[in-house]
Amino acid sequence: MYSTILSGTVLGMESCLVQVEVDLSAGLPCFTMVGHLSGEVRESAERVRVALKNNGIHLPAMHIAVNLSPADVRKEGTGFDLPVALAVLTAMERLTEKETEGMMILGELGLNGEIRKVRGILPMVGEGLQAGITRFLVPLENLQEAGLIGKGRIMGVGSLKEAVEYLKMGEAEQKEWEEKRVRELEVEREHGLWQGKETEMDFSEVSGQESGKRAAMIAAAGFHHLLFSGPPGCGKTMLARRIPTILPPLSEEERLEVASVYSIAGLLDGMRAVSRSRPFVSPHHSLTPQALAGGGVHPRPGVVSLAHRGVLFLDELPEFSRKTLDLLRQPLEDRKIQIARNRETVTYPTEFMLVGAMNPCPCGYFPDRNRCRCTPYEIHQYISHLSGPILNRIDLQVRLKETEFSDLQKPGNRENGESSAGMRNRVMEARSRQDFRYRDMGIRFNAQLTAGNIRSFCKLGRKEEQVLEQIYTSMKLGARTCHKLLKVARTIADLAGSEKVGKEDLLEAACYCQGLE
Amino acid sequence: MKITKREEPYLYWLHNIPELSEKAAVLLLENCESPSQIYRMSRQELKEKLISWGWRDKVAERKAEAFEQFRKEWRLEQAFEELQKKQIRMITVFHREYPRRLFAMASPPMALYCIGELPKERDCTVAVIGARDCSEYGSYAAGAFGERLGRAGIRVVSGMARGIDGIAQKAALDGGGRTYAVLGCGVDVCYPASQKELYGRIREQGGVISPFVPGTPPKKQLFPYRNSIVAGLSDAVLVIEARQKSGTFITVDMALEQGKDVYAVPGRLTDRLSDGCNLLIRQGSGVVLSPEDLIAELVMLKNRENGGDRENVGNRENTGSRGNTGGGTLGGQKEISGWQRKVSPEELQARRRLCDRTEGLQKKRRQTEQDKQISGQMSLELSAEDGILGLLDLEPKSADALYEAAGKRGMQMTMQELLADLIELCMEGKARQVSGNWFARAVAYSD
Repeated sequence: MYSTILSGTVLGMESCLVQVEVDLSAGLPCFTMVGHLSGEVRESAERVRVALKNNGIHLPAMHIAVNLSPADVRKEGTGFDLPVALAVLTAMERLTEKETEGMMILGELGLNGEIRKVRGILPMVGEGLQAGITRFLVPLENLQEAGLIGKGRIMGVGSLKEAVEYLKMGEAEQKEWEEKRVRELEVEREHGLWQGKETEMDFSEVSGQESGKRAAMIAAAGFHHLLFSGPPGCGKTMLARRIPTILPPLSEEERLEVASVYSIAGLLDGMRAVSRSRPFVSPHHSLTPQALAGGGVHPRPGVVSLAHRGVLFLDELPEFSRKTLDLLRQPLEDRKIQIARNRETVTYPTEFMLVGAMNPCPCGYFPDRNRCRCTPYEIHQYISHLSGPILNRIDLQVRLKETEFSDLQKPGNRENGESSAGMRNRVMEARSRQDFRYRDMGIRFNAQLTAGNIRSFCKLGRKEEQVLEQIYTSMKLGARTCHKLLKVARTIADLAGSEKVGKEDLLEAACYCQGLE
Repeated sequence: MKITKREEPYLYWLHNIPELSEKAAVLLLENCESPSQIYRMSRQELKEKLISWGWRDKVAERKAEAFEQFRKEWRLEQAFEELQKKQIRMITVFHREYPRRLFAMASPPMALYCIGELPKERDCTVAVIGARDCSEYGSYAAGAFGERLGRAGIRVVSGMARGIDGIAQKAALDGGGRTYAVLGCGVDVCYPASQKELYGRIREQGGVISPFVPGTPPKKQLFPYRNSIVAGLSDAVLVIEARQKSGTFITVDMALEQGKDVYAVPGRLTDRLSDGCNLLIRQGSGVVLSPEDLIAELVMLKNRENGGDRENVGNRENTGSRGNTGGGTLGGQKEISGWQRKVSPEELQARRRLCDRTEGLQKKRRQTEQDKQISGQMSLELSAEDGILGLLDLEPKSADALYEAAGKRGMQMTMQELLADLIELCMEGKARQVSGNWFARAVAYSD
């Protein structure tokens, strides 16, 4: 007897529909699986056999052949357990072909028949929807994730028994059950069982550091990379952590993109799935190159991809290994990262805003010579391995001063300091100007301007040209720094609501473009 | 002893012998007819001589062995020619050019190696020394003093180190003066390597000097001796910025031992980098408030010297014991603490004579005042400024600090406006951006 069921697998950021074919034939009793399978898929034979047995179904003493088609695509993940089990049941004529027709099935089986969550549900459901599939059977734990797109009939099941029960039902009953499941989910959400706490940080909590705040706002508005440098305890991390609070919320499309990456990484939890705040990823500086870029035998998204559409915060930047930092080149330049492994090459998106924090010298107190006794050579060594890959690509570089007691003491910082909400409004205004300006350009932010098109968008008047030339010569800028300056000036003008880049904008931008060396 | 040209390679050989200390070499020279005679000396003979001068048997044996071994390896003529190829001159104590100032040292070097020239006897020399990791204030002061001294024709002697030393020497060159760098390694080694450019310039416009044989790598233990030669070559020592515990004090102590005057540039009490200078002032060193101040003092000093107050100290016999230095009575008083020099009757007399001259000096001062007004270029005072420039200082300040300060002075402006104004000042050359958004007053000579 032959049967077939639809399932799917993830390939990098893409996914691919997979046909699960089962055939029972006379011969030596065995369970073989073919179709370019990775280890965990091959093992599913054992899980399926035991899970069926524990649910009172003994496999017939026949030759069971399972093929996952297309046979030339590498299959991985544990989502094939449930479709294989159901296909076997169909082949055994315990289910009919009709009951599973046009349905995409995903799920991992426990030995007791329980169905567990799998990673990559979101992109696979998305792929299925594109291919015209309307019904999905997924693990209960993945139900919410699968429902993010908001299309199709999706059912979450917790065990093999439930799955079979569901398939045997009439359509009306099935729909009723599906709705009940969704309702349960909503109840859970209301009770906040899986919803983590939204960040409650605000820029108004930062005392002093006006230039740091200003730079953070400019960076957020133009999606520029940003580097804070300053003595220990001056608030570098505090500022950086508040940057997501002034970034515009994720659009619907962006939210799915981010959720997909997290889904593939197996990290999509309830909070990330529904949250519209941007990811904020801050890895420790012992981070390995592989963890940063993504990888493993079967590639998974790394830190740079988890920060997609959000902020990648690298605290103590010079402490990161040179190799790790070098790997940032491609993501910073191309906004995606390509990882080639043994048999496959995958591409993950990495459109993040890099926020770095560093001490100005090994002890942290330079240029306060009362405390810092680092030699120029030591300072040079300390930042030398940043200069090539990183510093060149960071548009805004700000040195913060130490927080004095008077800063902390200021009465009513909360009222005085600009709040995140206010800053976000200004950022969003600047963003909408950019959206309008670059509507047909395939770029979205000022930071993405290239040497080629920068001049057509940063039109300078004659007076401004003169100012730029003056800055260029008096501050000994290079061509690259000059571009940085123009991009930042463009954003400053956007924040001020002006389409023309003025003299003041250029002058202020010049402040941030000076390297920290 | 008269050294003929033929003997010079032997002398160079003698200086190069490892193990054999300079002290032994000097004793050998004093007790033999010529360096070539030493060269022909047998191992046994040398050992006996060394023992008779108080070296222990074992040490003498070791020295004699190294001596013989080295004689076999060394290629006399070739080594000496190489020296000349590198344009290095060896100036031994027997040489006419040997700076007589050095005889004030407890143990003057047997030979100096130099590329370029040595300071002349009639030159007025001043050692400008200080911290390597100096502050902006220090580098400004070093630059201003160096430049002014250079322009006034006063020779700046220093160690070519990073920080104060190098800045002062560079400024002296810029001012058109000559400067001498005393190294703690061979003269053909540029240490620190980052001073390559300065090293090249000093070779042309002054001289690079070392008491160590060429090729000697920089070693920690060589620097105190280097410092004492810096002190030895100069008529006075100017300390610009130093921490309380610092190598600068080696130079200062040596200078005091040699009876040289010490001057310090005062700093703020809160600056650790000024602690050394302020301490010196408390102990009684001279205080200089401007380069003109120092120049006037130096002129006075030179006059005193030429007036014959000093004894002729270039007496070779003195070097075995301590150099006696006329004016001061510091000979052999290493334990002397601080600045309370005993004043000898001669010195009192000299001082009285100085008082007589003050009238002339005052005239001179007035002149320098006038000079200052005419040229208007070199005053250590920063002119008072209004507006944002008035908020800036030599020490870099962060934009936030300036923003606050502006607020306190009642200047109404946003951060943006402040930053724009600051950059404009930078473009005009009145301010400079230090790193990131930190700003400082821009003045000539702030490295």
